[in-house]
Amino acid sequence: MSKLSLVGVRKCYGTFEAIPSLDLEIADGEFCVFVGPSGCGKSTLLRTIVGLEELTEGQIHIGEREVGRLSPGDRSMAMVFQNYALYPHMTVAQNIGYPLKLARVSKPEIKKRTDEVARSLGLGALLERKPAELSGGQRQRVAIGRAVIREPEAFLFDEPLSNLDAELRVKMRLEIAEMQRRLGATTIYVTHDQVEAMTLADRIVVLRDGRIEQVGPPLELYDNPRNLFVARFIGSPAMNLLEVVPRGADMQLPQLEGLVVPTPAGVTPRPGMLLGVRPEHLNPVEDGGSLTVGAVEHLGGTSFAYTAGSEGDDRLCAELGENRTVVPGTTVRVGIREGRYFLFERNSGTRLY
Amino acid sequence: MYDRSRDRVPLWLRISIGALLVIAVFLAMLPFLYMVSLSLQSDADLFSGEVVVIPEQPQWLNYITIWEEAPFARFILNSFVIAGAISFLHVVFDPLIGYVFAKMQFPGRRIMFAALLSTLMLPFFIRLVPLYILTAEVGLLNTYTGLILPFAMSGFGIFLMRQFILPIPDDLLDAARVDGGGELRVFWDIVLPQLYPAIATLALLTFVFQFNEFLWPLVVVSSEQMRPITTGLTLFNQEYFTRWNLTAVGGMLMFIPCLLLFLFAQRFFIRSVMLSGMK
Ligand SMILES: Nc1ncnc2c1ncn2[C@@H]1O[C@H](COP(=O)(O)OP(=O)(O)OP(=O)(O)O)[C@@H](O)[C@H]1O
Ligand SMILES: [Mg+2]
Repeated sequence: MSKLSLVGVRKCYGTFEAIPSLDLEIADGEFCVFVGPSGCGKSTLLRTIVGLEELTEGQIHIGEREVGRLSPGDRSMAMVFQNYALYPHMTVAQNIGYPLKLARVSKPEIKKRTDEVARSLGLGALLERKPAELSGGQRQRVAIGRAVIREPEAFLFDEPLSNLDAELRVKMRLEIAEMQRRLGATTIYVTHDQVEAMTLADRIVVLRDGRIEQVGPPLELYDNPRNLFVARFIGSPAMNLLEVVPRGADMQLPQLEGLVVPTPAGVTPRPGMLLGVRPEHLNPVEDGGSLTVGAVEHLGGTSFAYTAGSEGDDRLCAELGENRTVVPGTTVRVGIREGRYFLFERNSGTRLY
Repeated sequence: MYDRSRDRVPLWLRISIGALLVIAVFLAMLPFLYMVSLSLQSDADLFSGEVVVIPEQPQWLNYITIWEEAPFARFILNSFVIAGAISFLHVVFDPLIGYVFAKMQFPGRRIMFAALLSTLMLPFFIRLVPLYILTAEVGLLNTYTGLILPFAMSGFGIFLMRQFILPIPDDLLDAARVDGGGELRVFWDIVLPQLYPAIATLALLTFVFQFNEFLWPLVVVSSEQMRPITTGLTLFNQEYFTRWNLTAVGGMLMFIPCLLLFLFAQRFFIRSVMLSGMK
């Protein structure tokens, strides 16, 4: 395994610049997750790294080698695709062993290693089946087996679990995490899924329009988003973003009527600011602002109250904790926990506090 | 097996449909049946001035005479060489070129593909004269090359292969590239095995079509030795009368390899359909 570094990587399709010059270093054995809205260039970046898309400019280093101009097979990387991409005419064993066959490994050796990998993935009994005769989870395991068998220096996953149902997704997520730790493999993993990103990643890379918005460990991004975009993107339920109306040295929040927050030091209250607060920091208090409950979700351990309104910025969410008595249609008074909020400039997205 | 459709279709309708089918099949078979009859007639039957349906004395000897009256073995060999070579070239090149059109980006691809398709729309006899002049110019009249080359490429085969390659997911090809395969490898290991049924169809159609090709050999071959069966049979078309009985024997002998090929290929089609797994 080796570290992977991208230096000034740029990717254009004709005149369209999908990835403007991008630098990123992924440590040896690190699990790095790319997230971002649809069309932000996650797949493009991944495919450029593995060599399926031609690099327009820049360098890609794996270990000490510069591989940016090599063909995909020579980069010592393996990739798992969203649709598994298993070869339909080959058996499970042939699928898993295919990279070794291409590497001209001897037949007995291929068989031995295929058996090992298949056994470690619980595919031992399925070796002679064709992909069409497997379940979704089994197919994904075969795809992983095919990636693992070559012992590549880096693994790349492009939304590998998005075709699976929720239950299987959780199971495979754990399996991937376990496998990655066992192999100590340098990994890049693309996903749409908040939870996958938070649970799997050593570090998350948030992308927008091919640019890196922020890189950091999941909790750092969660606790300390650099800007509005990251704040909105990380966390589920999403961060509440409230209009701020300056009133003297204080900030009034019209969406939570009656709630006034003192402006923190170093920030001058002005129009066009948004106050961000995570649902777990917006809780019922005696003298808070009023929030009209549209819906309540009881998760057992805790409950969330939502205001009516469409999903997005104007729908608020407060965590009720153990309070299970709130019903839709009523009003609760909520307050922001001491200092647990952020301030952003609405237009530029810059974080002010 | 219990067939529910039987309960719903009334008897009279079923009988009429059946009768209609029998008539249609009979009409379709009629020329063939008449050819069988002709092939067993004597010269006297032909001269009798009447239409003989079932010859009184079947002339089985016709099936032997034909080998003596003309270099018939040579004709058969020629037909096999020509149709075989053309089919072979198609099987080798059409999937490759179809792959390039289906899965590769290169400047001029659309124009080239349009040009290719336009050859499909052009009837052969329009190309016949220029093609003949060309063939004559390069001195390929009366040669295998001259018989084979003009048919070695066709828009149809390439188009057919492209259509079959298009639905193969790009991810599959990309996966093979990441696994370490070069372009030719990817084609050979991933694309080709999924094309077997299509290739079998192409080979069969091409072979039968070329085996029956008449116009081109008629134009480029004058020597007796280079004729395929189709134009070879015209030797029985003599000045004062045509040996229809021997011509029919030739037709029968042409038909047999095609029939065998179909029977053989049919089993292969079924097998390959079963082999091609997941979509
Ligand atoms: N072959 C191509 N030619 C031109 N533009 C492309 C090509 N492939 C992707 N793009 C563009 O590049 C941008 C990034 O696409 P990409 O597929 O990387 O997004 P993504 O982040 O993977 O999205 P998703 O989450 O929906 O998979 C998009 O605007 C897309 O339209
Ligand atoms: Mg994508």
